[in-house]
Amino acid sequence: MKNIFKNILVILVFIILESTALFLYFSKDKVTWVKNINTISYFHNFTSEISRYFSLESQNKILNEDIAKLRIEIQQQRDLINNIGAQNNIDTTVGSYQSIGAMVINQTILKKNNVITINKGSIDGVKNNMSIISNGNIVGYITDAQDKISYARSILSSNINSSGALKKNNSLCSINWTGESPYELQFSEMTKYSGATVGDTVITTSFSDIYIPNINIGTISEIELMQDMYYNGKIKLFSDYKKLKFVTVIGQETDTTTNAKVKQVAVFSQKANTTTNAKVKQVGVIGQKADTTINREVTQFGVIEQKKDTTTNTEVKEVTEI
Amino acid sequence: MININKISKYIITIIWILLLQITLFDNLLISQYVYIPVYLLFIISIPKRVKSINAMIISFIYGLIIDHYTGSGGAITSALVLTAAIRGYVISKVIFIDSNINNKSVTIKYTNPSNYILYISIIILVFNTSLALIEGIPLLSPTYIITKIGLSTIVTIPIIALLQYVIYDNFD
Repeated sequence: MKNIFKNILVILVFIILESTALFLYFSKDKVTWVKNINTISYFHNFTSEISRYFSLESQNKILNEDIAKLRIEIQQQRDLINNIGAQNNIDTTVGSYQSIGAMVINQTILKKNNVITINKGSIDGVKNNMSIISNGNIVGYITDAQDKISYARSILSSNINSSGALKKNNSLCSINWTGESPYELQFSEMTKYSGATVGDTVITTSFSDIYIPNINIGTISEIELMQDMYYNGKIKLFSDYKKLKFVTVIGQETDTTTNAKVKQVAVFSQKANTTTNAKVKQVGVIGQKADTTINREVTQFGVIEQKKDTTTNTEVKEVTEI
Repeated sequence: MININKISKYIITIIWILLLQITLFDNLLISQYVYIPVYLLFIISIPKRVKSINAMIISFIYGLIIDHYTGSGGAITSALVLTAAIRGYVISKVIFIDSNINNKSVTIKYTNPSNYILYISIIILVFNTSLALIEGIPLLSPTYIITKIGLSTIVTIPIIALLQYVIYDNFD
């Protein structure tokens, strides 16, 4: 009799503990069920210090190369934005992004939903939903900014479905991770008129709620035409998650007076119009900023086209708000 | 009576094992199919006389720490609790441990090496299967899950067998 009660007790304890563990796993936010444990923060930092010590020299070299590359890219982007802004008489102020350098102190790559832990937290200005990039490539987004450290959901997470676009013509597609390889994502529903081929670069889009737009994701490594309508395939990631050490956390700054996000983004593409043989410049998003009178975000989408008038042989600019 | 010295030893051992897991084995990408959970060594080595309920509670707390650190929700906790639940049964079937030493950590030092390898193989296989099923279903293909369980188990067995020499040699 005593043994039966003992066995029932063991089974009950097992069921309670298993149910609790599984509830934690399948609950919505898997990262944040233990908050602000300082000892864990110190442990994170301690282990990261050990790892960092052995890779300081190589990381320094990589950082210097990245800084040089980024400086050139920033200058090129500024020139491009200023030129188009001046030509079309629009305010193209791009500077509403806040960026914070951080070091990866822990990460997983072999799980279904992978997590990155960085050594910067809300004290340093990190906020939830900020994007994380490494070497100019998207890595993930912040899900839980604690005081001194932050947790981020890696792009290698099966529960993230985001949108991507071809860098060459902004053709959209859906992107997700199948959980099979830390080097590849899967894309789907890209129109067959996109002209996508193996080797094309895929970037993040402004239609994503979780990533900032125009950040490199990877290149198409496999492509297959489905039902003669759209392409599905695989994207080889630019970021090597095994070597992820330093990242930049980027997010939109908040207007402190209206407490609303201020975002002014210009998405540019330049391509040849095959009928007029003239260059056509398109701006996808004219601006998204806080309307201070009604205290909410106002998004203005529009297309700016610069065409050549074949009769007068002069350039004509057309701005169409969508 | 609570033995402070023994508890300190356990805490230091846990820290050592977690440091190894986090700084070395979590960063060791041999293959996408191979995951090496060396933190299992602590559960494997819990003395035979520790009751199943206590072993499960210890595993639960231990699993929560690892889950929090790795951001894996409760997946590792769930797999560890299951492993702790079957641990006593596996020991009783596979290993002979003299009642005089059943308060000592279950290591190769106090048992037959081949039986010990069989014991850790079963424990690692159960853990990997449980973890792969929790994390993999319904997302991944059966082939992927089976390959991952098999390769992870094969790689983990010799590593844990070696580590118990290093970590538990002078423990008791």
